[in-house]
Amino acid sequence: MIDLGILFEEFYLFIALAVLGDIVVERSGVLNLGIDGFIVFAIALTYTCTVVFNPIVALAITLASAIVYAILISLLINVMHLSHILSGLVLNMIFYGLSVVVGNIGLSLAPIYLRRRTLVAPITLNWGVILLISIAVSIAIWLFLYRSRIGVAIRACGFNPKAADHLGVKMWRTRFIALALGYIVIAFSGYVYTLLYKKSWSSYIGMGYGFLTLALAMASLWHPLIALIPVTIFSYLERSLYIYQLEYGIPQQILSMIPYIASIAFVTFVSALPISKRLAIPRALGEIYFKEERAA
Amino acid sequence: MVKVAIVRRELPIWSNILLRISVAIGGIALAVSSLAFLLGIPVDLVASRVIDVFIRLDALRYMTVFLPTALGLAIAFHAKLWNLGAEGQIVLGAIGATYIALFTPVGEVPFLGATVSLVFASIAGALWALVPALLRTFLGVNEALTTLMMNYIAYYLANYLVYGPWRGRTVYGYPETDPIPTQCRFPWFPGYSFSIYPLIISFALVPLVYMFLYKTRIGIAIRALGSSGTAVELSGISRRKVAIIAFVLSGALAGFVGGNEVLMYHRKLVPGEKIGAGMGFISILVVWFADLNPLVVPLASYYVSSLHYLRMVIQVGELTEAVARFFVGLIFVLMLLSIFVARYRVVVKR
Repeated sequence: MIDLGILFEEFYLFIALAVLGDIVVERSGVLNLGIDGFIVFAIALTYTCTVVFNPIVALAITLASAIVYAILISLLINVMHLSHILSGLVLNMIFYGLSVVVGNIGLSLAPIYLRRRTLVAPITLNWGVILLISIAVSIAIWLFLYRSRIGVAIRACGFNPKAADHLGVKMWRTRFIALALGYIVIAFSGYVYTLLYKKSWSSYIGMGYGFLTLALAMASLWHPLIALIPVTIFSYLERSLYIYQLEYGIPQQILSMIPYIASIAFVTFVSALPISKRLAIPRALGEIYFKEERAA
Repeated sequence: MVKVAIVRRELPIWSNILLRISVAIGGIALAVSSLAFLLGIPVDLVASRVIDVFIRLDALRYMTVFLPTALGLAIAFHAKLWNLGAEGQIVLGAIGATYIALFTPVGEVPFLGATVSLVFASIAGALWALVPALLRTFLGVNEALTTLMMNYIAYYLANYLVYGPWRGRTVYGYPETDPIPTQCRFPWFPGYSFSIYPLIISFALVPLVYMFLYKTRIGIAIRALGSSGTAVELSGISRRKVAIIAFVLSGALAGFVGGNEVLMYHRKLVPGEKIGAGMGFISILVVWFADLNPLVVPLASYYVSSLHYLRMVIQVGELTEAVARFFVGLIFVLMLLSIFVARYRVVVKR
């Protein structure tokens, strides 16, 4: 058995928030490959801003950077009608690079501001609080996506952009709102990672978690309430890697594959079921929406 | 009231070529200026280094990776199938080639060993690509996400092998296999770390892929699939078959690259992250740089490999690698802009 305090720790909150933010974005039909670059960047930005200013200013700046990132993606895929995949990959590359530049500023400034390079967490959360926050955020996002007017519009954009447009949903605006809100949640996850979990920074820290987030979001069929189940299973596996290796001799690498294999297998299984026709998963994921010859 | 609209258009071929060339030159300017300003190196020094990189042959080592991978991806992208798994297919190819070269008697035979290894590597890459292709065609699972995830599965598979059953006895505990037999290796071009044989194969692939895509029945069907699947079905060719062929071919070429990386460069199996090293992702952008045209892919891959090599040449502290990523990213933003300019026009109505 595993201790709940180890399972629901800060890392759990980080992954849960990133997955929930990703779900908001992908529900609007935006294939969110740019998430990995942004998570890496948000982690570095939080570190540097905390060193230079304080945790509260760092939070404000990181959240502001989320909106800038959303504007960038929106510019590329909404205004310039470029492929979501290409835009995501290119933005990743730029922001991986920027993250190291930004993080290094923090590392070099730390001695000047007479601070240690390891940060001090402003608050410590016990496992109950972390679980509560995760559940609260997931319910809030569910309410937003399923019970509010704009949330329904976002899901319509992800399901069938053309039909949504004919019903009077403004595609550009809706996708931008989804991007901005989703990225604010994702930025918050990066903030949690730096300040509460890792407390230090090194080059490219956090790289690859963005793509893992995409896998977990897919495994939850892009539903905010289901999302916590794959996150919990992943967090459990991650925490117990060494236990399994020592006690049962299962190699660590094989266990690390499981989230990816499981999410592909689960989505395949669900798609093969007859109910998949009626399932409201974002079918238009990655579709470029071009509105012919009309003014914006 | 002023209204801004975005309208589709087709750019004339000469303006399109001009656009691409100006992007390439603008990219070099961006590289020079970002290196000069962010790292504080004098501009003329950077410029001479950059020109040097474009003249020297070292970049050809990366071209043996980018050229075949990009050609394969061009096939898949023509069919509007997003194969983001070149990275994983390269790793699988490397695993396949290592298996033949190291663990079968064929590896000891000169010439035959290398050939069989490369063929087996291609098969491994193709099979790795077959999984998302089948999921896509029969169940409609988003192929971009599945291929992306299979990259990580491939990484962990390679890591499992080099940390576990395949770990070499003569490598002092490093996570590597033993070196492959000398008979199986491609000899290096004197003074450089690339071999002439894979380059010849890569260049031979260029007209082959072009002929395949533009002159054969199945190739034309692949290109038609990108614009209309129904048209393909109506012409009497199975849409599923075409999609699977496009995907498997792109996987096979990426697998070939992986096998070649083992035979030519690493000469053993190393952890997954070191085999692909992100080059599978960059290949995706190489194809779009060439506007999906197989005949332009060699130029685009030469350009990108030179930029890739530039990262190794300029070594100023630990920031270099990151700054290089940053400016390569900016160059690709220019490329995205050129795609927009080539396809759309902004109209201002009063």
